[in-house]
Amino acid sequence: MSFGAPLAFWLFALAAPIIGFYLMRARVRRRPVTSLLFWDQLMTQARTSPLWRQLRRWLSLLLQLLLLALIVLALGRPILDWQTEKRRPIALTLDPSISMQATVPGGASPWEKSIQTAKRMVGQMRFFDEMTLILAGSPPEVISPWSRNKRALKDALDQLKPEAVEVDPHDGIRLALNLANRGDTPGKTIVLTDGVWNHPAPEDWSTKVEWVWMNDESIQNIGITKFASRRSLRSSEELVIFVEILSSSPSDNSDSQTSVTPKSNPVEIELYRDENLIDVIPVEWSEGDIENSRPWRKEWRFNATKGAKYEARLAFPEDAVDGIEQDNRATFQTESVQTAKIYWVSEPNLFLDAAIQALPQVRFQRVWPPDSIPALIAGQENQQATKTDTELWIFHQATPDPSWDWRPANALFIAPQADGYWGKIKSGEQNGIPTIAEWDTTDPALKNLDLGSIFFRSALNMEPPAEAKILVKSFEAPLIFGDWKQDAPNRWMVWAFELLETDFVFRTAYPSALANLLQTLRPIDSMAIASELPGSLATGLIRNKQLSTKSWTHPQITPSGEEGQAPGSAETADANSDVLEGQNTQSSSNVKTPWWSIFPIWWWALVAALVWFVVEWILYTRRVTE
Amino acid sequence: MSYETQMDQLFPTDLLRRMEALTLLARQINRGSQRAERRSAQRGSSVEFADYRQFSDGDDWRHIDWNAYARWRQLALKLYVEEEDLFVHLLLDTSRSMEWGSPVKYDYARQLAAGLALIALSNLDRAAIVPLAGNDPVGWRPTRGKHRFVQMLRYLADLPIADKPLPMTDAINRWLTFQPRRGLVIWLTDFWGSDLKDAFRALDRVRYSKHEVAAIQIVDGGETNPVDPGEFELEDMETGSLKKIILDNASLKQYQAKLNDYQESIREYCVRWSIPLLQLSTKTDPAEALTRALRKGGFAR
Repeated sequence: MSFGAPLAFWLFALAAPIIGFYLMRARVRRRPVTSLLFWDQLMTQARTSPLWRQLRRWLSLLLQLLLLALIVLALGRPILDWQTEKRRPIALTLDPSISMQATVPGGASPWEKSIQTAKRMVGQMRFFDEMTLILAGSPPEVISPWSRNKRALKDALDQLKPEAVEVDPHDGIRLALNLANRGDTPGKTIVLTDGVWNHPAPEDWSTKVEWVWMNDESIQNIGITKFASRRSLRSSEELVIFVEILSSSPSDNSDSQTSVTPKSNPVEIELYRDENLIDVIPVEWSEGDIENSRPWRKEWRFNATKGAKYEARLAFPEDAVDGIEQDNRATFQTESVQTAKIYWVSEPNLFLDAAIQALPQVRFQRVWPPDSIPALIAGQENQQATKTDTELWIFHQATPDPSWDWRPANALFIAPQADGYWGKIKSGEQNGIPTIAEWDTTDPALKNLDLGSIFFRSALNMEPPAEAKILVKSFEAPLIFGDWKQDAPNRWMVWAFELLETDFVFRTAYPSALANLLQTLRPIDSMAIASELPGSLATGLIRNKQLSTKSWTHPQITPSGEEGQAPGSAETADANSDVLEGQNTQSSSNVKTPWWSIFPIWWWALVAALVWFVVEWILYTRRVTE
Repeated sequence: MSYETQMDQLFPTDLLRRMEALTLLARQINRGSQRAERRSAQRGSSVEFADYRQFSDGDDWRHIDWNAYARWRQLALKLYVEEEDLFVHLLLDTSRSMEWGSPVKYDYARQLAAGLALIALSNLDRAAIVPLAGNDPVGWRPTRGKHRFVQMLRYLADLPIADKPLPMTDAINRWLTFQPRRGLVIWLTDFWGSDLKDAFRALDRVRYSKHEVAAIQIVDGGETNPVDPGEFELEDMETGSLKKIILDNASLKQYQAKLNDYQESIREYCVRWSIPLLQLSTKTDPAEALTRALRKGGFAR
């Protein structure tokens, strides 16, 4: 036996004053009286101190010393050897994912059940067991260190809140396993979860972890699993909104209103823009979609250049029961389409100017002659603080002078007249009539362009620099090339032909090509936005298949390491889920923890001391009145 | 605690002043009395006829009543009342049982004795203080005149408690061996004797000695409710003997009943033999106690 607080034994020194007080009390008080005449006559009633009375005094002293010994023993926090040997660390892990918050008609949510179960397990701890609480969130969190204090553990459980998204509990369980097996005594890892996980559990966890299933198969839920938007790649004005809805409820052919998805009165999806309802569509699954966990999808397309708040809401029929409320709404905020400023460095040409100005979300400025560019740039630098637009410099039959020591961030050189970082001009024109033989259709700058039928009267014979990517070739001669990578500090592109020498400008490919360039200049982040949602697994309440097909140990805390049921038994997780309520009840009744081991030995010592105290008090009072 | 207390503490000025006022009350009560106008049992030469007796040899011829001889043919002497001073003997119980209570019974008794002595001296009587136990059986000899009062107070203040216990009867006998002049005997005591009959035997002895007897019994509240229930070792203050005892409420009630019976028997005795008795608690103011004594009669002439 060892003691947690051996310093308490100094309190045995209190035995000295106790004995002193006893001797003082045992000494008969002398009381002077004027005469003993009458007292002699009363001796038949007033007895002297008999032998048994003397013995009882010794018993009283013995009781007092025993009382002191018990209290000192209690304060010394004794730990018996068998307690140390059978001490069991328990790492109790809770799955806080959104699916645990599913509403169960007329019952507690899995999360509430898990908290109740955890509290019951804490209450059933033996006094020499210790427990740690782990919230298997992202990241996992130890919410209570190793402790034997049941009240502290329960208080920690009361402070817990589930997360609003689906989480992966793997890291939390690994943490629990590491903590539980950190010492010499192998610990127990208990996981309270509904089994709705993204990834299956490792095989070896079936023997290392005790699972307590909190899932109720009767939970029905319809939720939004995806609500996103993006700008059209063809036109930045076009906004595409996409919604995906998943159901875990079997489609009900009857007209019952208690089902989430009665065909006669289906769920509707409402789309709001800045709190204004703009569309309502019934959500109707095809045959077999729900059984196969196929989501319902819908796409909207709008022309919207301004930013707005979009919200999708699921409108349920009256009295419908939906498990998870958090996935019935989804919102995102789009940003306005960023305007682009095009500096058109070209001689005045009404047609070409108008073609540029016709591009959407573009501000146009023609610069001519090129010598005015330095003054323009100097003026821009002074206004740098307010400059937010995307800029595109288009040099038409002009190039920046190398002496300016300036490179535009985004530059398109059309039929350049001089050499530079954009390439060298070879002498003479390309041989023969240029014909576009191939082009890179995957490049964003050329996306959705049909260049095959463009007629070229002539083209420049240029030699691109090594870093340039050739996008369009006329046989082996490059027609369009450049360095237009997304992360390049200075993007440039060369159209090695004069616009007026082709019919390119008369085709839709011309504004599309310019629009593609402008589109690539816009920030990608604003192109696609998605709402944060719990996730399809949580919404569909789909238990991890690998978990489901396994057989798991019944969740029971057994006092001395006995397992409630051996791993590998024939009972399936689904069966566990079906009897979850009964199982929990059963777990409390099947606990084999001896009733006396719920309280520590010092607690019993204190109780014994209290009993001794009462006995001593009775003896003390009776010695007077007897 | 030493009972050779300072006189000022035992006899404060306020108490003495009130006692002085009591002397006036005593004169009013004994109105018509004159100084030294006490009829003595002695036959003397005053003008007041007392009795006849036969002539015997040696008698004074001048006192023969010749008229009586003519009537009875026998020589008879005419006796006259002898007028003499009254002797007031203040018997003070100095046994250890008086060394008890709050205030201490002995102090209370001494204060009463001082008051009674003052009254006697104011009446031109002779006052004597007799400690009934201890080494001084004679005590303060009979004294006349108020000018001796201060000395008497000093004597009272210095008068110690007796070291050894002495039965009341023996103490009275010891005093009577000195043949004190007959007079008024005022006994200040608690009547705790060597046994329950001791006090009565002592009273008988005084009574037989032809003294006029008055008694003041001093009782402290602690004597009627001596101890709380519990286990005690009782110490007899008279004898010093010890007795272990376990008391409960029933035993205490029986004790109180026996004490009351004893007090009642003392009262009955005094009534039977016409002995003025005053049973006082130490809580009673000494001046008030003296007033009650004067009004009751028998404690002064």
